[in-house]
Amino acid sequence: MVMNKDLHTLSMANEPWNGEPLDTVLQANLTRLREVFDACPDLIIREFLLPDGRRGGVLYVNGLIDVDRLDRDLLHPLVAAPPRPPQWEHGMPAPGLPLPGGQLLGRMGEVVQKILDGVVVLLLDGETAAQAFGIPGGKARNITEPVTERSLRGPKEGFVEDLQTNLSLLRRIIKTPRLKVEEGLAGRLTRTNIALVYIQGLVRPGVLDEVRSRLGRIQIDGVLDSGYLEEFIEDHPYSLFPQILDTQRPDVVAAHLLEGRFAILCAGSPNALLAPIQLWSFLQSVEDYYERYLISSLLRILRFSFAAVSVLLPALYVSVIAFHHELIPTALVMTVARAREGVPFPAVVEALLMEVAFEALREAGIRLPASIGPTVSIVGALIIGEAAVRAGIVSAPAVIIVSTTGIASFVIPRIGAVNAVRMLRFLMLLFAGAFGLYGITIMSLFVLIHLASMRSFGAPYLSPWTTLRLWEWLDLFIRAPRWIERRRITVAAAGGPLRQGPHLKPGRASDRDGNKQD
Amino acid sequence: MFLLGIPLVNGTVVLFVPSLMATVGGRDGWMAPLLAPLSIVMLVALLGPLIRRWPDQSFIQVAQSTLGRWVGGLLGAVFSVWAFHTNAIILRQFGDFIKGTVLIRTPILIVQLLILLAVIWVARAGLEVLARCAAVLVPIDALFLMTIVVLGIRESRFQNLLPVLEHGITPVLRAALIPSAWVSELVCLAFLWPRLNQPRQGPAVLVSASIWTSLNLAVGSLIGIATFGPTVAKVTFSLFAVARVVSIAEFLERIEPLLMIVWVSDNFIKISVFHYVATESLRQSLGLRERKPLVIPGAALMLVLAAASLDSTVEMADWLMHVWPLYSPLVTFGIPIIALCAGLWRMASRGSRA
Repeated sequence: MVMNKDLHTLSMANEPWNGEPLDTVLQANLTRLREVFDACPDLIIREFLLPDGRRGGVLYVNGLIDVDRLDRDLLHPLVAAPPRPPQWEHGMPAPGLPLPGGQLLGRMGEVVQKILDGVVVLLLDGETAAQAFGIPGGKARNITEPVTERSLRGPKEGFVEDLQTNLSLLRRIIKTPRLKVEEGLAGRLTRTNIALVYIQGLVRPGVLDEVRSRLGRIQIDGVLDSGYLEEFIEDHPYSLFPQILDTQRPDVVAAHLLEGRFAILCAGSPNALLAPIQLWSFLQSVEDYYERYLISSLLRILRFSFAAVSVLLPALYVSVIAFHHELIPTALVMTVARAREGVPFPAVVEALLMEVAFEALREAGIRLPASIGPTVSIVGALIIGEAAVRAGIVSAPAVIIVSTTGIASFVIPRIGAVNAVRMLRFLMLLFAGAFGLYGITIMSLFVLIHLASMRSFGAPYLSPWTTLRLWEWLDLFIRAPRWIERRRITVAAAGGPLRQGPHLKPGRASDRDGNKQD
Repeated sequence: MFLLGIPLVNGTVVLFVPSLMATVGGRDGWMAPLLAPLSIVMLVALLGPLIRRWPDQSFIQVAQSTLGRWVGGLLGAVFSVWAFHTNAIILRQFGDFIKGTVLIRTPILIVQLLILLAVIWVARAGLEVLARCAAVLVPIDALFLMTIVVLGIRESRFQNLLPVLEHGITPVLRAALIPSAWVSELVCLAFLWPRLNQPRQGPAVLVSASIWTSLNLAVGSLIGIATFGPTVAKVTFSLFAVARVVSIAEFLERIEPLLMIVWVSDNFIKISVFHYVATESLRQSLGLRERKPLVIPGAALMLVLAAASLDSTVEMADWLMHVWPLYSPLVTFGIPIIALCAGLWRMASRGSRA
């Protein structure tokens, strides 16, 4: 309760000055604002004299606005204008100002809010309302290709930290007024702008209501990345598996919007959230849709199999070594047995050791500067690994298994799924160590039950497999040619049953017309 | 939307169990399962009117509403006891199989406990989750099975099947009783009809599931007999043995783990369905509101029953061959028939009154 109350007092709505009306005397307002912004040297207050002798002041936060434009387009015309008093009523401060009309602010809270949002606020002596002008400026990152989601083919744009830029990137792709953006705030102190984006008529209305209410429940001090939101709105907080897809690519967001999903963008974060999502989406890469369908399908099958390998391989190794020698050819058994001769640990411990070492290496490698990253991997993988095998602490087969597993996990394109696989691998390993193949099967059943009971915003997580919509399998393990996939994916989407026209398969015109002439 | 997956599955589940037929039917044993769907067709013919009259009620609820709470409840309790008992037997078979083939030194209790954990989990999660699991497992299992059968063809000698019908049709008919008993377990599915999204399709689903099952069973025993000849009667798990002798290209020496995976996952679905049916029928016959509190005690009861009811695999085989084919149909056919008669009688008396 105490914490709750504490949070409450910190929020702006409860500050004593929030509801105060503005004074007609400029100096009184400025004094009050200086009190509010005590010890905030980045608040700039510039006072000036109007031609009619009144005093005025502009307030803004240093670095958030374009100072050159402020001088040229606002201050200079005001100061140099013929002695005609600015007219507040129509939202036009003075004729001849090359700025779009500002918004009128009557209360102290609104003024403070606008200043913090990076807007210029103009106060004049004798007026009971201030006026806000958006003159955005300051530094922002350029639009670049996202490092974590490269593709050989397809657009090279990536989201940046600025919400408006990100929304404009989307609007450039989907040019319909049905692309709706609902804006909101999250975080009592950071007051982060978030945007819920969807295509009206494609997304299911019930899903929208649900996400609105889940977003509305969030009450925290700060939202620094969309990851904060994800944890509050996901369906199964204890699950190993990610239930929301995050991406930095506008084209991925657009593709999912077109399949009836919604996106949540968050100011300050280049990661957009996408839901409702299915398990398979984490194993599908953007490029599947840009390359030709044959190679895409083959690569997809490769990815699915290696995801399985990456979960199961160490567990299979352990169960075969410890329980079921008879399952592999005799020659191989002999080789492995010879290699394991003198290794002091049972296979489980050996595999666990190597897996933990591998994870540590990986974690060490991620954050190191690029210049010493390779050194770590060389020392770690080559020297220590080689020495450990030579010294007989671990066996060469175990090293092979663990490194194969590692490579296999890099085949998975989404980091969320990679993390799930990493954790799952250890669970599998433990069960395999205790019960062999039977343990692996049981563990897989556990995972299956869990996955089968999961839903992401109402859509079954394993759909379309478990919902038996067979035509949707065309975009599951394979990617069928685009001209076959006429029907709309219905897991998430509303809207009509078809998403493209008939007879799109390339070929002779006579074939397309359906009346073949031989 | 959900649940259409289950029937198929439950079908495949039944498949491995008996090479017992070969004992009775000899080399023509593989024909026996082909006759088994007949019993289901009969059952469907009986249950069809019920489902048309009361599409949203199980036959136990029908019995309760027509025969009164006590008699109907008693019937439901008998059915529930049958389901628990059968499930315990399945659990016992399952444990024996795993212990006998892959985990020789692990206590059977641990083996059973592990699968029961999965069963309890899914039973608490509900029927929809179970159906989804089934939808995932069925295609995988079918794929594995096909692999085994196709690879097994290399080892089989079809001369073993000759001469066909040496002793006439009688042994086949007698052998057909055994698979009929197994197939009649599908009556559990009839219990689930009211939960289908289209209850009226229930009968069709049930018949196709039983045909599918029987085909599987026939192919399985065919390949078993073709591989081992008449000695197949002595091999308890014939398909497993087939998998054992398969050897492809000096590399795929043993494919029985595939079969074990199929077996475990099929049994998982099967035990779960039975557990669901057992607890749900108990709930209905006792008139309770919630099913969940029954799940864990029911599982514990099964574990005990599985250990206590039979002493050895040999005894179980004997029981399965001689007692089971009579005991099981008695319940699976008897109760729906009583429900049907009661329902018809009620309908008739109401009709005469009106």
